[in-house]
Amino acid sequence: MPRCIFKLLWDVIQDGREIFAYVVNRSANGDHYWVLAHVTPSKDSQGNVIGFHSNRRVPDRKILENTIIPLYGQLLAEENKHANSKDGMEASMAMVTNLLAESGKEYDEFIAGLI
Amino acid sequence: MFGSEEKAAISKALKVCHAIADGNFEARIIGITEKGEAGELLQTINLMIDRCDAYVRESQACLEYVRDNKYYRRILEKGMTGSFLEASRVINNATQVMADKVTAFTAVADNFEKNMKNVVQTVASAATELQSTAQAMENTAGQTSEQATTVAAAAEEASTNVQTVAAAAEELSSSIGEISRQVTQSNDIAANAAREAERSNEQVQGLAEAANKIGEVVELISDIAEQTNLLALNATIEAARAGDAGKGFAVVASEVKNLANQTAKATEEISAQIGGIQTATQAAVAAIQGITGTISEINQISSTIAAAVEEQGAATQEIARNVEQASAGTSEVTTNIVKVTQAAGETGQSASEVLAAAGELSKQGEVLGQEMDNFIIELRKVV
Repeated sequence: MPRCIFKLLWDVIQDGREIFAYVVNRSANGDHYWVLAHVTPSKDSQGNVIGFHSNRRVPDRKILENTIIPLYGQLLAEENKHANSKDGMEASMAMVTNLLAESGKEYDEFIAGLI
Repeated sequence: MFGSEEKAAISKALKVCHAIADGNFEARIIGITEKGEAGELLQTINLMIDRCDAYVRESQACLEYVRDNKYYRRILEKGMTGSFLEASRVINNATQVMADKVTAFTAVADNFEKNMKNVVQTVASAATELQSTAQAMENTAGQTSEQATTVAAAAEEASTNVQTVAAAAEELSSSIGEISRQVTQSNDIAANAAREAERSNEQVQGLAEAANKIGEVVELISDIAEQTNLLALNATIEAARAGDAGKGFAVVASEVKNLANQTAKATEEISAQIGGIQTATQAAVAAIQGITGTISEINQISSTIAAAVEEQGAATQEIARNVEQASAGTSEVTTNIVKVTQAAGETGQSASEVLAAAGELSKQGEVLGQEMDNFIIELRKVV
């Protein structure tokens, strides 16, 4: 998993917004499996974030194989180029930003097309 | 009846169900250790909350996006069941319909904006063009007016000049009349002179004849004087024969002879005088003939003058006619120029009105453009 995806996830939900993200989970027996996580902040009646709620869904294999796995591979490779993990994460985040800018979409619109 | 474990389970379930009934979907039953149906009940209550919670979060998120004019966030139908699935489909379908309408309306708005901008542009450029045309028209009218004034002044001057020419022609005409009268008078005088010369000629002829007659009488007297001389000579001779008796007679005869000689001399002198008279009368005749010739020449010259005067009179009349036509022409020019000046004034007035209208149109075009921009801004807020 590219670290920049987790950073993106936390940035969004801490901002009080929902996010959809493809995430690899590791099970107790060491197997890994893909989920489509839908993380939403829980708010009180004043609109303050009081917690987070994650709803996991089984992802579409085709979307994973055609788009997500190659994309995450690129991001990971970029992160591994850097000795300093923070530099690596910044570089891969820049890649994400550039890709979104090229497509002309925000992340939410981009991922809405991949669900 | 329930055992103590079931009672504890029901108690946990009730607490959470009350929270759920109050709309708190954060609540979950935690720490489930119950087995059998009691445990299954608690697990199922949690599952029920999960599904309600998921639906609420999903529909809320979707409608928040719609609120922000974003239509790509749909409810994930995967995992939705029964009425949740149906309601999700209705919301997703409604979102799609809204998205389609917004897309269509955006296209309409784009088209409207483009067309209206063209219209505003066209109105603005038409107003500008109209303004410059009206300006040009106003200038032309002004120039026409100025030129018409110049022409009017020129026509006035021409009219004055024509009147001067007319007056000159009038003077010339009366002068020619005077010349004509003088020529006629001169002709009369010449004719009188000719008649006088003729009469003088006749008188001189009479004088010549009288001189001739006198000459004849003088010749007769001369003959008589010669015969008287001869007779005196005979008487002298006869007196001599008569001696003394004839002596007195001889004296008379000598006296007669003297008288005869004196008579002869006197007649000779008279003859000489008559010759002089004859020469003088011939000179007078020649002179009178010269006078007659001169008068004849004067007559000829007068005729020539009369013909020239006639021609001049015709020419003067021609001038007078032309002057009259020129006068009519200049007054026509004056009339037309007045009309031209009027027309130019009206054109200038119209041009001013058009200019004002164009200015108003331009202002209205600006207002239209401004209103359009405002409208488009408001429109863009909607879509």
